[in-house]
Amino acid sequence: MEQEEKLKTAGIAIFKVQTIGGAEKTTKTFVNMDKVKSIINDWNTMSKKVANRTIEQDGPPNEATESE
Amino acid sequence: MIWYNNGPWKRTIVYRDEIPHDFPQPHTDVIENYINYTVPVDKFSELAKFDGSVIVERTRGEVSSRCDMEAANIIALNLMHDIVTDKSSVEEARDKYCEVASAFMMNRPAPYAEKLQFTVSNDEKYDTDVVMIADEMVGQAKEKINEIVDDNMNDGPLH
Repeated sequence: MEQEEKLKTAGIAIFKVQTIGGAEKTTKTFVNMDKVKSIINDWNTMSKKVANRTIEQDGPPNEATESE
Repeated sequence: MIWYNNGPWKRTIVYRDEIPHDFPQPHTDVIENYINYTVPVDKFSELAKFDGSVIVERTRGEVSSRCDMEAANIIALNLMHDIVTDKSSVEEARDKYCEVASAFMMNRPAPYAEKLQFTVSNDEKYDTDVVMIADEMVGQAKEKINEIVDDNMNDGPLH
């Protein structure tokens, strides 16, 4: 990394911590259940079972990818 | 799959890939539940001895537990709190984990498996540590300036 780029990165990091902080941005929308089903369809038994149990209890997830 | 702010949890993640884990009985870890919780640094080793699937995140001010069911994570986090507050030793907590998990599986009363026995903060409390690099950075900047000046001197007189 060039020196100018290193200093820019350090500057941005310090400015962000001082002014904004780092609070987690949570996703508030829900994943469409058709998409959820298509993802967990390929999961093994235990992962699928736990995912389904959590959906029954808490509703659709806020985020879903192939691996989690 | 990720759920935010579901029930008592800051975040819940269910993973596709199972992680084998044999305490207190052979199972695979697939669900991880997170809370805001500040663990004193001198308790980290004890928690590592207690349960390898209780994960302390110092900078984020979080603790999570990963297991095969939410109830097991509730047990682990309640016992994590007992260790941090010196209510239990590691060995006592591991014994109690077996006792509570067995009671829960037999549908007997098991408060430690049913809900968190301590109050969890909704506010994030980062442990940002301390800035140590500033003095060294000033020193390095001085060195850099000297190098630039020396280079210019070697290139001929400045105008």
